[in-house]
Amino acid sequence: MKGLKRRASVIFSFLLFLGGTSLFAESSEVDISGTLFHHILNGRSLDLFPGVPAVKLPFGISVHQFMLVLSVLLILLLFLVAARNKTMKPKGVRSVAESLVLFVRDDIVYPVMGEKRGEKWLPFFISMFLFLLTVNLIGLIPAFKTATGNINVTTAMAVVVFVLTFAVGFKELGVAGFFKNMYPEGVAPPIGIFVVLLEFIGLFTKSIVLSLRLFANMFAGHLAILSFLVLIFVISPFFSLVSLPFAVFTYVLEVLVALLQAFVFTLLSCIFITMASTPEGE
Amino acid sequence: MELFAIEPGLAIWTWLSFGLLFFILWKFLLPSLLKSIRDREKTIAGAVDNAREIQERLDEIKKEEAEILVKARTQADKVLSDTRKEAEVLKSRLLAKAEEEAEAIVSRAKIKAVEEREVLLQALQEELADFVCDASEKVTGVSFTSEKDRKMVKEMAQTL
Amino acid sequence: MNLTLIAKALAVIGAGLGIAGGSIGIGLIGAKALDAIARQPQEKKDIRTNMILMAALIEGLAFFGAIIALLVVFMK
Repeated sequence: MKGLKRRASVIFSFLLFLGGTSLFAESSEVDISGTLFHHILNGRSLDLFPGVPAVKLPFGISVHQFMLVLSVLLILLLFLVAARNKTMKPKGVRSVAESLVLFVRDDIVYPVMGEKRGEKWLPFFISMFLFLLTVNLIGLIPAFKTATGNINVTTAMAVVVFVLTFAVGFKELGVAGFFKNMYPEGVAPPIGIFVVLLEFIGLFTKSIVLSLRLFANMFAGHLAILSFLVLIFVISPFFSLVSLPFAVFTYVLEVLVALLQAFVFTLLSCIFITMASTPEGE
Repeated sequence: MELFAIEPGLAIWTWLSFGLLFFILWKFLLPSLLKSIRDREKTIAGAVDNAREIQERLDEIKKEEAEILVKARTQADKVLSDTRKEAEVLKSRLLAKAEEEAEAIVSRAKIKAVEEREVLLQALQEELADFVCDASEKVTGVSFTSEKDRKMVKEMAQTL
Repeated sequence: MNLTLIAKALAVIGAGLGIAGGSIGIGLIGAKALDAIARQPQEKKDIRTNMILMAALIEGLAFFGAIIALLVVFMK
């Protein structure tokens, strides 16, 4: 415990030192908003260390594309390593993979879809949850970026859910049944048609909000961390005393948010797909 | 506006990478993992069921044991009470028999005594008759040896 | 120039109002959910899932406002 404290204080003072010196390293006329967004928005090169020139990615791919591929590879690696351990008592990497899978199964898919239907859909939601979780979390590693902080990525994921909602709904209920399913029972036609219209628009807004929520959460979270850090440049090197603890706090909060948003996205898509394809009153 | 810049390439990459991930997980990596989890759950559930079954059987056996014990005790009690009753009956029967015998002996003895008395009485009367006859012969000088006289004396002795 | 500055300021105020509304909503959800959990601890899991779901839906609306404000602010 004592060693941990000392190590933490050493790291903290090192960070303070970095924060203080970086002001003098760059010219005082920095484009604050430019630097801020430079660390969040998509680019074509990775800044690995301060002072070291940025590493240009091969084949002209952007950082967010690189992050997506990297997280996919990470997940595959996790499961490949987990697949080697086939004992009755899981341990190490295997238990990590199993706890993630069990979390998706017992907290997201089975409660919403039921066991019979959920079993069929389980691989899809597991990969969705793991994909989003890894992409969310990978951006918290310094020098890496969050691909889900880019609206194109989240919209692409939301479009997958949107298309699936319609496809599964049409397949399970038929095109007529899909719209009939939205019609509330025992309501006069004018109001009923209005409700159907609202529900139909709701399908679109739900998907749009789904993508916006993930994007805004990740983007805003990283912006908050960076804003605290940028304040050091704006006010004074000694403001890092206040700024760094806040930045660390926000960072820790971001870990929670990354998990929560992956969970919420998966849960909501599960609910949307189930709702659109289950007959009323079931 | 860079924040909301539309990058179709990135969207396509998202689909591709997610699709690839889903495909590989779905086809190759997840089935064995899910199967092993399900197998383990089944094994655990089976073991729990087994344990419950064994527990149930144990409870049953315990119950049976208690039942058998109770039955044995009642049987023992019954046997005991039966034997006691039998002994009682035997005892009473023996007693009755003994009493009967005793009574028989007593009655026989009584009869015998009466008979004896009768015989004695007879003998006494005979004696008395002889004596009276002899005495009156001596007094009167007349012989009373006839049967008729003896009978008369005997009757008189009976009235005594 | 001045007019756009005013518009941007108004957009930021609007975003703040939207987020305030969302915060009130999420606060109410949290309060009620905790109430429900305190009353029926055995339904904890269900209530928590629903709470997160509802909070996420409201949060999405708040973000909607914030994003629109952001669009206005960064408009050139």
